[in-house]
Amino acid sequence: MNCKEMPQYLISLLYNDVTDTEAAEIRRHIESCSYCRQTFQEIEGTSRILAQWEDESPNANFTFVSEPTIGFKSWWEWLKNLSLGRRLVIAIPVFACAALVLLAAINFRASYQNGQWAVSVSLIPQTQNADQETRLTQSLDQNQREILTQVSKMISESEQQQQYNTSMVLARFAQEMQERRQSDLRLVGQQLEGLQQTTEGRFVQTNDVLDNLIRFASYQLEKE
Amino acid sequence: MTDARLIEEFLNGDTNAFNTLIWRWERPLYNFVYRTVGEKETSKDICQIAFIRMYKQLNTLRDRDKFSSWLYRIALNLCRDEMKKKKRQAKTYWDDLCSDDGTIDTLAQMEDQQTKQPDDLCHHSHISEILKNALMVLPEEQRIVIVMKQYQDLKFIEIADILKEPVNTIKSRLYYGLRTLRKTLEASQLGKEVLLNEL
Repeated sequence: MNCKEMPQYLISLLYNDVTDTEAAEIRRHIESCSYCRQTFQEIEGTSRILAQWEDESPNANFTFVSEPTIGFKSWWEWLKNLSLGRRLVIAIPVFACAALVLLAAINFRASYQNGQWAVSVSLIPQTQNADQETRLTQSLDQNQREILTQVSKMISESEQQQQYNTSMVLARFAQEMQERRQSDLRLVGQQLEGLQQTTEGRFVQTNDVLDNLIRFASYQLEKE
Repeated sequence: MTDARLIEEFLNGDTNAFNTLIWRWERPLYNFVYRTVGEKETSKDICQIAFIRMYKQLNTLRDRDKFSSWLYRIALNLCRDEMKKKKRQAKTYWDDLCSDDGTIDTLAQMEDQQTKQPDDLCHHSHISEILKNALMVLPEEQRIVIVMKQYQDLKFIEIADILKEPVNTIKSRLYYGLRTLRKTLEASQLGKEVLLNEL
């Protein structure tokens, strides 16, 4: 083995295309020859750098043959070739649906009451509980209806009572007003009678004074 | 299911088998073409044409166990056609614009050209971009061998079968390709940074 043959041997060693015996022989030469050692390090390093360029997705649809039906295997191939993001977009709804179906299959029940969660799982459908729940719901509905009827009845009675009270207050007020009017009229009549008597008395006095004046005048005339 | 089995099913009328073949091969084939021609859109076009040829000529494939080599050969021929077309276009372009021969033969020159475009700076700094540029300045045959071995992980005998060359020639091209690539990286600033990171 000499340096002239080394390019092919170094490549064979680099890409593991040699038998163990050949590999050992090449390595022995590399250890003894600084030029070949350095060359091998260089091509090995370059190969490592090249490996950093990762494969890219073509982001294109190359399929052009119409497909009447897609079998499981085709689906599997298709899924395998999808990018991680697309796989997640498909996987999340599928798993969510599967989880819902599973929960329905095991009769999963969850409830929240007074700050506590209650979870139950059963392989047998819980029909009795469902009937009880239906009956309870019906009874609650009936109670609610009765309470509503009672409340509306109480409201109407209260309205009638209010109307009666209002009419009574109004009647009392009207009676009081009538009495006050009668007393006022009586008082006015009395005052008018008093005024009349006073006026008549003054008329009599005025008449007497006028008679006396006439008499005095007549007497004076006679005297003259 | 093996490729040979899928081919058999496709030839028996199962179109799903053909699509499965495409789904299985679109990623490796695209990456092979992209690393060989260096342009994404062109690579997609080449892959599409390669798959159409595959569809038309699959019945002519005698040894179905060598399907991958056959498919790579189709893609490689298309890549070579594309690169020839590019060379002609580049030659005409530079003949029109430059007084000298105008060919870009180093990564540094390519970097100089690209650094004039500020929008590309961020993209350019990406390691895959640096490696792509470094590969693009390699001689075509060396680049093809490097891509086939380094990225497609084909056996030397398979590469020899695709390229119709002896295994020793393939190894020799790979050796000189890797060394030239190293020198190309060392000659450019970004390439040096990549080499330093590797160390």
